[in-house]
Amino acid sequence: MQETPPCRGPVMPGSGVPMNIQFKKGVLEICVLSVLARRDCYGYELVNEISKTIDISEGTIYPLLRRLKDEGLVTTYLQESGEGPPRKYYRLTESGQRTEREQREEWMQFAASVNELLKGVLHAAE
Amino acid sequence: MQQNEQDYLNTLRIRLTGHVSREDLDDILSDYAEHFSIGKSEGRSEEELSRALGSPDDVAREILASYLVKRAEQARSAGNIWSAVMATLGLGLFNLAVVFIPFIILIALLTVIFVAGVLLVVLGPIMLLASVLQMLGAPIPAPWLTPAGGFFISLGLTVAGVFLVVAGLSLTRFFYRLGIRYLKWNIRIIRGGEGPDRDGVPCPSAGTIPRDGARHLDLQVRFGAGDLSIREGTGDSNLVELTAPHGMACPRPSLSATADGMGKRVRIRGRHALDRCWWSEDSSPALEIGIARDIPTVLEVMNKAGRTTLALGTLSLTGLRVRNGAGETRIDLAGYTGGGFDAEIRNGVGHLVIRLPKDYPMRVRVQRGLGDTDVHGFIVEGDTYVTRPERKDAPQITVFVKQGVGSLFLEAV
Repeated sequence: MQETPPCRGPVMPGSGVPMNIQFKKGVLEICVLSVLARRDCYGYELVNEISKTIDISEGTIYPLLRRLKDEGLVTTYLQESGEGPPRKYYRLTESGQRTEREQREEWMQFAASVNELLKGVLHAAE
Repeated sequence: MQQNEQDYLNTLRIRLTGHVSREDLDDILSDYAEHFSIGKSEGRSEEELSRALGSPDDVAREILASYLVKRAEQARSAGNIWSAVMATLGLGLFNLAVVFIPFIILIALLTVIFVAGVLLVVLGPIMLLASVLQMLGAPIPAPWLTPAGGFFISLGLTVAGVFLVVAGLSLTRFFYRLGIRYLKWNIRIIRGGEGPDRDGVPCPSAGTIPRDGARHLDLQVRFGAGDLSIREGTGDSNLVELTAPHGMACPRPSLSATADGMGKRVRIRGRHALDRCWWSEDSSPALEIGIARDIPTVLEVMNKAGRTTLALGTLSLTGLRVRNGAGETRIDLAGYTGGGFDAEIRNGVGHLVIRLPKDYPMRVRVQRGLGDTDVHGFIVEGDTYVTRPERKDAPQITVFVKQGVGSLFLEAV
């Protein structure tokens, strides 16, 4: 299996430290979208990918995928796997790709300004 | 709580049955079944996987909230928006003040507009008639100075009334749409319940009643308000086990047992101070009760307000009485193999879901108030639903259901 770069969304320095749960929920969507923008995933794989970097109840990713599907941002298809029954894969639709780009950009700008601010505060503290 | 795959999927199924269509339910469960099967093929244990998934109750709440909001959006009705608001509230994290109180204020405001409008529409023509009669010379004591003035005042009132009603209607539509968007936003941004890290916290309130050779059990549970859940599951030598995961901020439930001939009589009382618990940051108080699997049990449950979940499929019952004031009630006897019994189920306000074992001859008499009834797997005989299974020697189950306001879902599985 090819190595997927991890979701680069809301990784906080020293992740694994419990992060505010509302905070996580807000950024979960962009994480899921950006993992799927790289390649199609089946649920388990996606959950694993995300829970590697963000500590969250894995079960809540499925309702999120369901909502994204309802909103037309992702579609699903079944594909045979080497072992066991076929797996349900998720793929971004065109509007999903657009949303992913927009949200990623927004996030990057936001994160950059927050980092800037935090650095300023750090310097002042020194 | 340690849960295997079966427990996890069952809890999800029980929580969602009756709210979500059958195809959607199967689809949702298949996602989680796939997760378990792939996880196991990679060598992880069922317990480990279910711990990482987090509480199935939270997952179900999340699915329900999105689902009900979607339904309220597609089919506009007071009932649908009510379910959607309640489901979003069930996510638990943002408190009542954020959703419920604005919702109630809005309803009150719209009601005032409508009542005023309708009043004017009714009063206007009456006054109009009065002023016309007065113009014709009838001696009618009216507050206006001249008959012609009265004519115009009452005409104006009528027009204002019509205007208010129309404005009220479009305001309602506007707020309905706005409300849906707001609920959706809440579901996106705010997530309720607890993450997996909370599982490690020991239950602050727990108790057990040892078996001591008892042959039967008479269990009575009275609960003030909150989530009540009763299912099979105790240690080997115990008759009844009690845990109250959210009991920290609340008074502890009391647990008492007395010998009753060859059996035991157990009383559980949970009195929750509403002011301390209902508004606290924790979700509503909860009580979980486990009963020994193989002991004939008479179960009497009363919950004044809150969700009641009885998963009794693996128990052996000799009697069942359930009374729930306000809130959702779920009684699941799927897979039941014990003896026959009589049951009486009374639900005040809220959804009622009952699943019964189809291999038993059953008579279910239903008395109901407002709401849909959805019945699967029964033969209808007036207000009674019966099953005639092939197995003739199976003991009889007789159920009386009284449902007040809310949907009823009855299924033989």
